[in-house]
Amino acid sequence: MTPERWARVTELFDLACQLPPADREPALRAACDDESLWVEVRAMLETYDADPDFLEGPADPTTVLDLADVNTLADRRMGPYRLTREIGRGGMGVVYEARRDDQEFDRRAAVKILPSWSAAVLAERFRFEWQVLAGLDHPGIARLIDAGTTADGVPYCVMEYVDGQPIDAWCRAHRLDVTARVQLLERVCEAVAHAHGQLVVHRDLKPSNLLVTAAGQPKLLDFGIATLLDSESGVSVGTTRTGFTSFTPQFASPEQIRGERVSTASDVYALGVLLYLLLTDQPPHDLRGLSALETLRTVCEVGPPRPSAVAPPEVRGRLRGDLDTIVEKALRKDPRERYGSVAALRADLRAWREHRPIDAVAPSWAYRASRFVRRNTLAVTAGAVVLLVVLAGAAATARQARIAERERARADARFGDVRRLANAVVGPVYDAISKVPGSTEARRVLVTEALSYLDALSALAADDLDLKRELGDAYLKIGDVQGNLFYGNLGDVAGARDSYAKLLALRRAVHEARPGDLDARLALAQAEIRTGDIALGESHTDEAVRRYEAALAMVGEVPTAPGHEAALTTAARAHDHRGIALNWAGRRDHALAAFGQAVALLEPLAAGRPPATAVREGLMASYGNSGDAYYYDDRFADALDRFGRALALARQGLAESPTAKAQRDVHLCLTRVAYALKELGRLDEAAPLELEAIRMQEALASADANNVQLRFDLAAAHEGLAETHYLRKHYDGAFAEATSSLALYRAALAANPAAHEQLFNDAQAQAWLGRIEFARGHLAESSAALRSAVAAFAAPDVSARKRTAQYEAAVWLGDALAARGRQSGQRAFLVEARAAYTAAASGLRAVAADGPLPAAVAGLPAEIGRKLAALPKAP
Amino acid sequence: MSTSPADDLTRLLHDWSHGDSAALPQLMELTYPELHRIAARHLAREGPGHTLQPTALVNEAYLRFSQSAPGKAWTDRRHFFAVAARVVRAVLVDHARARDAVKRGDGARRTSLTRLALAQGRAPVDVLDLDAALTALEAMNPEHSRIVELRYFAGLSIEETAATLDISTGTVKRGWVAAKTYIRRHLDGDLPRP
Repeated sequence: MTPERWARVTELFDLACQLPPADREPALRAACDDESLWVEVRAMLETYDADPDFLEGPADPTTVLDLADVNTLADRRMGPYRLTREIGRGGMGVVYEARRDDQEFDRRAAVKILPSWSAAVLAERFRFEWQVLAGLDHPGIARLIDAGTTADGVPYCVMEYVDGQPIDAWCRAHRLDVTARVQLLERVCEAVAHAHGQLVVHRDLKPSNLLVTAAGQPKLLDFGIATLLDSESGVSVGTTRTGFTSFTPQFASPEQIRGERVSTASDVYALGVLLYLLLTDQPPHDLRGLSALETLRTVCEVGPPRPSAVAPPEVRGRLRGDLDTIVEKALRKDPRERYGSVAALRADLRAWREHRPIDAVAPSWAYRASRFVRRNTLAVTAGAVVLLVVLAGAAATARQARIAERERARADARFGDVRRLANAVVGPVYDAISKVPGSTEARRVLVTEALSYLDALSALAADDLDLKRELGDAYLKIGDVQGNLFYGNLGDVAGARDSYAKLLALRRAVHEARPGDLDARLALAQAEIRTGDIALGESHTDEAVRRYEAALAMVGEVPTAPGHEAALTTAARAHDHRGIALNWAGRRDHALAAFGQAVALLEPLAAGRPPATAVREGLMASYGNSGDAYYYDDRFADALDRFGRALALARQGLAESPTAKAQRDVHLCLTRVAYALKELGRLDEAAPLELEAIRMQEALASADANNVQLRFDLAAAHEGLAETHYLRKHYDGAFAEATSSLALYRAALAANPAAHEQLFNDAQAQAWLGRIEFARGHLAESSAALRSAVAAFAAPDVSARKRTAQYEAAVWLGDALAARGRQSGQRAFLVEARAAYTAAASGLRAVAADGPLPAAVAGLPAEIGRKLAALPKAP
Repeated sequence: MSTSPADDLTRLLHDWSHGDSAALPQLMELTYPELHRIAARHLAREGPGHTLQPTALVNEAYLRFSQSAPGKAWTDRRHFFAVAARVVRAVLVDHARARDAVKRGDGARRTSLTRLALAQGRAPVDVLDLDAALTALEAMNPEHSRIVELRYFAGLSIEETAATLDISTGTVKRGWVAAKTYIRRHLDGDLPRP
């Protein structure tokens, strides 16, 4: 049908539709004299009348997207190829085995069916790149043979068919030794280097893309497919597709994870991951079960353990040294610090195999030291670096000395030196660094290094109880810094669990050897507490409670009197943590009783005189924890009482020693007291406390300009005061505070634009500002701020509460727009308001599908329903 | 750092809405993976048998894209919906093709799996046939094809469709009834062959 004829048909059809059936025929005849048109329109009217509801319900994509279905395109023909069976399926298409049977020889190929949008892409933008890819001719690369579009518009490409096994499975199946694995990876490097020479980056190197044929030839698949669909060829869209590319996180470099520009260095990183995998049979990072944010953090910030530390025991010796170094260099977080090219990586692998010196710098004290200095500018850290360098030298000497039997006497002396130095690192140096803000990673490096020396020493002196005790101290500290939720930690819970398991074994051994020793008993009790902390962190509250009770049994009866502080604080800590576990398990009354026991042990020690630091901190924690329990039980008066006591202790601590931690404690207590006051409706009392908290943070922040955490605390404090003003209906004050808060978040965001947490805070602050503007009646400003907030909310995968914050903002945006629409009578605002409400409702439904909504927004879906119903119908 | 996808999206939407038809394939390329991912994730979470409102799908995609441009208010929201409707169509057509076991032209019957279930009690629509009908409609009146895309693949109401296309609701209503009647006849094989 021509457009002109269709226009005529619709015109008549529309006319007829307006009329009762009986009047239609005469009207049609009167309107035109073309009988063929009448026939057409009559047929349409019949069809319409038979089923006027046709197509009225929108499409339900799930019925088509059901991936469980196995129907395929098998037996279909693509150009000269006939598809025989499906062999793979991924985000970018489905791959079939295919045969070319128009030739004498029945040639096999792999055909990849691409998504339909790529048809236009292939035709218009990638003709040139296509030729480059087709030109990649290397035995290690599966060749791209052809590409095209079928008559009915299905784009496809044809590749060499590779009959092989993924590289990791192949190595295992053939029981390759370390040398053979390294040699195999060298050949992979050659193939990748060839492609880099043609300016093609793979970007998705992983075992499933790297098959080894029966003849032992590694073959890279999908070379350039990623690039082709994801071009960096200077076309603006292509450069940004990375944000949505389906790469494999396990093999993706930090820059890929962050969605930044990908280069040959990203392939170097992926080859490093492959090497790690082939050498140790495990990936550098265990990303299973991690959220997107945790994955980002792990890949971008956490250095993996050395291959020699995690490989099967029989190969560890071969990995230690050069291979560790090569892997470490390939896996550097900063692309510029990795091997400059794949060829350079290959050269080092070859050098290792031929027992020649490698290019990468060995255990790189300079590198570690530079990382230290970058993270911590304080002199105490510099001192630690010097100490570590000394330690490394001493340890090396000790190892050599151990080999030389005739120098035994000197070796013994060195043994003592190393032990003393390692203990200094674990003891005073560690404690000094702990006081430095942001030193978590530095502490981990320190303790890990010291630990490796102590480990080596303990192998030499298996029966030395004192050494066992020292080792225990080191494992305790490293576990704390790895992943104990009660300390600033690196989120490596699995590592912490291992360290604590060793700690427990060591302390049990010491306790069994010296059953009467009170220190050994207390040390074992501390180990039980740490083990409980891990269980608690994983929400195994029953197991945690059992551990804490074991600790209490181990401490036993202690008289509550001066002189027994160590035992009492240990027991109090066990009670306190037990209370937390009980609270998390929902047994709030038992929890409060446990906190009460902790307080009862410590209070006598604080009566009538200033308590020791450990006593004061323990008391403060237990008051704070019981305050929290009351608070979440809606018993705000009791909560206020406990928070008040905690605040008094925090102020005492600050008066004694104005450290950053003491200031932070006061700040936290002030904030909690203010919260409790707010809940009790005592807003006028809360405001000055919040103001004090702000003043305090301002002083701290100006003294430590680089500390981002402080700025955040300050921003949060402004946010809290904004809320108080808002509730007091002091909207102008609220506006001023919210503006300060947003400015601080903005400054922090400018310093680190990639941090999701900061994006979230920024969005939240904007949403608040919008809400306050709404209350002030500034509807235009309100909707602008809220639009911006809704747009600013970062990936909604942090926690249910955070996911809902954005939908709350969307509802507020709806409110502001609806009010504007009502005020101005402009339809567009109402339409946008409806869209905002609808988006919020569907978002909340998605959240609710994963579990119950947080209490604060539980009523929101119903509220949205009411708001939507109340929205004036658009004309 | 590269510019954000949302920046490109905003720019491309602007170009496209100002008549640069070359921007459309790029827009589709940019939005396809995300829409596909959302739909697939929904499916993985809900399992077969649950329905997915395209409105929810498109809105979530919109939120995600707009989130990736913090601090930027979107003015081109309606253009986004227009693109998203078209992309949802492409996603569904691709899947239908991938699972379409039938050698077309061999006279075998197509499986029921390519069919989109309509609301309860109504006959399912074959998405590939629907796609063909829309393509035919597009040649006769592109606006009619867009109306069907927005109503059916993005789940927009008559009013929202009107706002998106910047035409009156009356025009949308008339176009919608005529277009869907045409599609029904196309599906039923009732149209006279040219």
